[in-house]
Amino acid sequence: MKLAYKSGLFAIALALASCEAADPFETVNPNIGESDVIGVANSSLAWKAGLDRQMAITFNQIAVLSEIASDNYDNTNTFFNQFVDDFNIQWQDNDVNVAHRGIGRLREKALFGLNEVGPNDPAGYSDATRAEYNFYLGIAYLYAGEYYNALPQENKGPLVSKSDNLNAAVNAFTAALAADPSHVGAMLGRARAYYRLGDDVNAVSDANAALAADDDYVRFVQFDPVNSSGNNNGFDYTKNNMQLALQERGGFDDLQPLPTLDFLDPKVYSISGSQDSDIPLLKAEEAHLIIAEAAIANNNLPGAATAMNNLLALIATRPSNTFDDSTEDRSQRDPGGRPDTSAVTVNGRAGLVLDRKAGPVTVPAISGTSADAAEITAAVTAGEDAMLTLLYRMRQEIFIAEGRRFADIGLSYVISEVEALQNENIGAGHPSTISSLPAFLTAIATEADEFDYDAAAFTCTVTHDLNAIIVANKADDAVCPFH
Amino acid sequence: MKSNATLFSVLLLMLFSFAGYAQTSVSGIVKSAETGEPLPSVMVTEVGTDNVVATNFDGAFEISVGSNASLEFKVFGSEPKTVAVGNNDFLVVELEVNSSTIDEVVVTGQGIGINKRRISTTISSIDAADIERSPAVQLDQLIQSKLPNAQIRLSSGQPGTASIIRSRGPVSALINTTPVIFIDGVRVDNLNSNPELGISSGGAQSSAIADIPMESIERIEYIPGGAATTLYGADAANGVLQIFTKRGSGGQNTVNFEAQIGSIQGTTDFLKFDRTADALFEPGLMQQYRIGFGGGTRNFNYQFSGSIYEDDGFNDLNTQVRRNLRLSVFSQVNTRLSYSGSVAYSNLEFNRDYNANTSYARFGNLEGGQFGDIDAMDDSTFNALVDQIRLEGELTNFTENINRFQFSNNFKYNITSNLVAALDLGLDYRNSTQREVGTNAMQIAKGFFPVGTTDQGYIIDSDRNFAVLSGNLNIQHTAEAGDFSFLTLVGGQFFRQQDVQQAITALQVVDGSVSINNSSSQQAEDFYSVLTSYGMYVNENIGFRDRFFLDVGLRLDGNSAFGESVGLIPLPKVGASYIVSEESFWKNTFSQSSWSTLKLRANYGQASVFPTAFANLLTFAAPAYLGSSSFDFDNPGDDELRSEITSTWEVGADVGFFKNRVYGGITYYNTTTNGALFTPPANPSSGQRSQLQNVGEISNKGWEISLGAEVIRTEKHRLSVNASYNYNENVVVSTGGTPEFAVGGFTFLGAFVKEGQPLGYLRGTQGTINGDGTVTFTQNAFLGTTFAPTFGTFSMSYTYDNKLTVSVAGDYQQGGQGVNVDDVLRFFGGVNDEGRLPAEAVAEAGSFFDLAGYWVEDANYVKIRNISATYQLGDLFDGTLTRASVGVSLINPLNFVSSSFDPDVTGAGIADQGGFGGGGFAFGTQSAPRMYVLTLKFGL
Repeated sequence: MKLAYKSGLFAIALALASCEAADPFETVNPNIGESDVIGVANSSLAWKAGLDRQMAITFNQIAVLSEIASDNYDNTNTFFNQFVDDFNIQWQDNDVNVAHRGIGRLREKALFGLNEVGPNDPAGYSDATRAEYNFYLGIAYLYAGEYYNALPQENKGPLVSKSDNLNAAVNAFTAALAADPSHVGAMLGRARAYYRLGDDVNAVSDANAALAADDDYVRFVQFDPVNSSGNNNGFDYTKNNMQLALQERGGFDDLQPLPTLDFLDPKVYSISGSQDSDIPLLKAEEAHLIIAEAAIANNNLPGAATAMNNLLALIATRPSNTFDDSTEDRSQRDPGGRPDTSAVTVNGRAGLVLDRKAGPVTVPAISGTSADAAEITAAVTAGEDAMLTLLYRMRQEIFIAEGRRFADIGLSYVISEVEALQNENIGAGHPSTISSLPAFLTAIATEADEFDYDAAAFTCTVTHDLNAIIVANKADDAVCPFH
Repeated sequence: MKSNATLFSVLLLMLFSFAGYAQTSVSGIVKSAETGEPLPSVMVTEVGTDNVVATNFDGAFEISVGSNASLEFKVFGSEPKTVAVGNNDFLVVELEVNSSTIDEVVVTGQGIGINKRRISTTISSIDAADIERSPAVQLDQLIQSKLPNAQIRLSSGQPGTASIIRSRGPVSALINTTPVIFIDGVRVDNLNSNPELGISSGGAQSSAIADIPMESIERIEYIPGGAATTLYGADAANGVLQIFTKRGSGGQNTVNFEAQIGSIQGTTDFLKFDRTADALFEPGLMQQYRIGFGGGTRNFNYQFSGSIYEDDGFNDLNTQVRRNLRLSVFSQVNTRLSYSGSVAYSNLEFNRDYNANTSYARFGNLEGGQFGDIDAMDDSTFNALVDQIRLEGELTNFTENINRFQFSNNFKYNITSNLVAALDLGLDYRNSTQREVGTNAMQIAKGFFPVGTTDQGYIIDSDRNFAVLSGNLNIQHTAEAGDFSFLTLVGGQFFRQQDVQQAITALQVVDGSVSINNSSSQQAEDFYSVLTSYGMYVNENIGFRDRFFLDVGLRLDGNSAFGESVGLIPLPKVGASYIVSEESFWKNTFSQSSWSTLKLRANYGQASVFPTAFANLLTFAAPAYLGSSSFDFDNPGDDELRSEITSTWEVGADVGFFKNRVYGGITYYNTTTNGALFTPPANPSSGQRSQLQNVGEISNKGWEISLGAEVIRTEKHRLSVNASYNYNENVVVSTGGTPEFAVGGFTFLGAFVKEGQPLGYLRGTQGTINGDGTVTFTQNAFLGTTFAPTFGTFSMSYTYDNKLTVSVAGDYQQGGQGVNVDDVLRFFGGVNDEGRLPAEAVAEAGSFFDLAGYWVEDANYVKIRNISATYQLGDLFDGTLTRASVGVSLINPLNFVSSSFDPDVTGAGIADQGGFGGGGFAFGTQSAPRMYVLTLKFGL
């Protein structure tokens, strides 16, 4: 009994000691917290890299949806969004919500960099880094202004109008240029914001400044397929979503381009298992396009022609990619349903469709166009509307797969249900949650990417020339900002 | 912490004290009074003590008793009997059959058996005989159609996959409906979904339930969530499944062999195209061999069982191998302390095909009309397609290997004759390795890349290491005072689970390499989750005249995943039961041969589901991006985060008629989940990720009815039938003002959480054809619910002359819906089901999104899961072989369904670790195969 008693005491001591040694209640959080980010040496650089990454994610979330919505691409049968293809833009559509989230996250991260991470970096906060934070803030506001009629600028904040968002973009790009006067991206971004605001004087001024600084400037969105995770509208999807949509067979049949744009597709392709294509975010072409459109609006058609010819010269210097695209089909499920051979003329124009099964294809990597100097000359003769129509065709061709056509044709997203219901300034049924498109778009909502194709005669006619429709409605606020 | 340490020390103190008193040894044999057959697993208890042993296979027992002892003999299915030992040293005891379940001894949770009459909650159990007869190699298959109040839906025919297990409806949007699982009082991994970093393979999600060690299972108990699970705290709101393993019994050495051989065939019941079977299915061979032996003395005995299982699947690709073993020991350390422990190991290796949600899926592509109507193809085209499909199969290399160890230690210490302490302590460790080798050749064969591609090869390697350490220590005191009896339980419980995962993706792997070293780049990811749950509980069970019982308990529940400002959460319970049929007024009114039993019961209790580890914290992330580290916002954090609490009240009755030859139970329950853990979408203007929050409220109400009858009970013939009916009404009462959000499915048709609708209801566009032939498309309409409100089981068992047993078991569901996603794909190919889509709707639809509602079908079914016959051969070859039996089983033989797809299979599976899973999306997934199994068993 005595032995047992002693053993018992020993056991108690042992139990207490072992508890201290291996406390089963101790849990270690593997994640990092605020103090690991703010006030840490070189955190401003890692935060900038985070913004580059966020740009790729935000672009993924907006650009594919916007290409489907526009006439550029038809979503014949993929599980990518099918509603917006017919201009059916709904507040309950999760993709519309995700697009807004991409903008919100880019803005919040830029602001957090400017307010918290940058100023507290003990290793220094360079002007170049500050310029980049402001640049991305500018892009966030620019997207808000380009894709939405109104969007809050802060968490659950009041709705801010398109022009106020664009003005906020102007201010952010101005701040970027103050920090780094050689930031061509900020010059082009500000030119684009002024363009959308209809301010031709400032837009042209920035466009010229950008060309003077770097006449073949391109800033790419860069993707990282190696470190990507989650699905393609997730928070960590850093593969090139456009590439997935346009070229990789993983998503059933790919998005199908309007037959007039076939020769420009796919702008992005799978370079290798560990490398995706880049997509231009801002490029010098835009400066020429702004200058040309301003000239047309000011009835200076020769001036516009000069800008457009300068543009052709720039495009001629741009690289192309040559690759095997034989696994891509033009409507695999309905063979003969879409033009798929170079023998086809589209709208009477030859050379717009590639042979994909007969060896490698060559597709412009940054920009390409079917326009030439002769067409420009003819358009000058034909007058303002012909010039503007040609210009919009070039915009469409040059910006394909960059998500830009959406705003050019006058489309606009709505405030999502998720935002509306949680934001006291909005609420269910608010006008900002209901799509209101220009009448000229609703008239052709289900036909924007339709065409007639006679496979036997090798002729194809696109049902509506949306560029002509835009120009016919150039006075509408939704399109042609300088008119 | 301190209180736990103190309790632990008290126990250790007790372990080291000694005492002794006079003992004599009694042995004997227990038989069935009706048949004379020996009865195994009869609990033999020295009355007034906690001294208990069980009979072995031959009904034999040996027990050491004090002077003037009486022995009580109890086993489920027989009338208990008490016998005075007197001067006998050998007893022959015969027990009468009794179908009443009132006096069944159940363990319920805290390690010490309790008579079912004392408790007010329901428990269903599967006994040794049922388990013996089942050829199932996986726990979910074993319990399917055997638990009257739970539903098990096999979600894929691929090896190692999960079932959706549910009983009282989905109480949480955070987790799926899988119950917590204990083996011998030790918590085990019950992850019934793909791990966080697991490889999806297109929807066939792996499950830890598929490899729970299956050796030596003697009994399984299932208790639904509610007052019954209050004392478990933590995440017991979905109920608790307890597995008890065999313990050797003294004095007898036994050796058992078992061999099974069978054929596995793909079921063609749900195929769209007959030729899908021609292209993919190949009958497979399954075989299993098992050896078990046990023996020792009364004070120290052991039991060993080991088996190996192998099959080569019902198609050209799948194979699986299982190796299982368990060793259990029991030791009566001294007169007061007993120890039993077991160690089990299981190994599962299999390979898998791509499924459903990937264009790599062979079955999905065939059934999804990727190749058009293959039944209408000319033979040479089809043969070429078969060659192509077979080539893709040969090039598919997706394997998983699981190694699992499980330990349990159970100590029992009789402090005095009415005070007993019990400690369960154990560990489950599970390692799984998934590896997908995607060669260039495979991707070229599947048409993803042009011939000659050499830079698209990849390997994904995903490892998960999971360990859960759990302990439960309690002291139970029994006392009697006049008409009152008291059962007091005080205890503490904890578990710590650690989940560490790593995934490596290697790109541009050279064909021929199965090593990530031969690649141009590698990306690694890890996942770490550790969580500790702890609780203290007290429970008082007061009996009055052994027929009225009051049960009151409280648990204080703590968890490392709670927010900073949340302390211990109290979970109360209270219940009462009343055995009316033992009152004299009842006996005077009804005779035993009319209405024999009536037990009334009612209770209220709370259980909980704890939040995801670290979800309470504000965190940042630093993912790699193009070679550098990049900061990102991560989890927003919530200081108030806590468990969601499910409060259940239930009332019910157990009845028996005609000497309990007809028996049943009925229960009405009403469960409300308060502070339900929802992850509503963050408003996009915040730019933040969504945060887990206690904002929801979910209601589940319903009925559980089970009925059984011994239709025939003669010396030669016994026929029993059982059936159950369950009705569950599930609704999201509140989402706390947050907008509805998706918990599964697709953009065109998803599973959503919305106020006023069932959890995970199907949402999509509903087309309605108007009188004038126009079509109205209503977006985001309610299209159905994936949890069928009505479900149940049925079974029949016939025994002839105690030699031949024939049994049939099945289950059914009614009132739920599912989506035929395969036909959406067939629609793209123009080979969709005739008559599904009204021409007007197709003409007016903007896209297939508008037609979503037409792909939703009622998913009612009646399925016969098992038909088996067993014949007892007895002793053979002059007793060289003993207890020989031969059996045949048909698994999944018959399906009657209302839908054009298999309502069981859900290609989308449960993709998020532990996440909500309602199923309901039939998508390119092969159904569980049909199996024909021959079993031979004998002992030496």
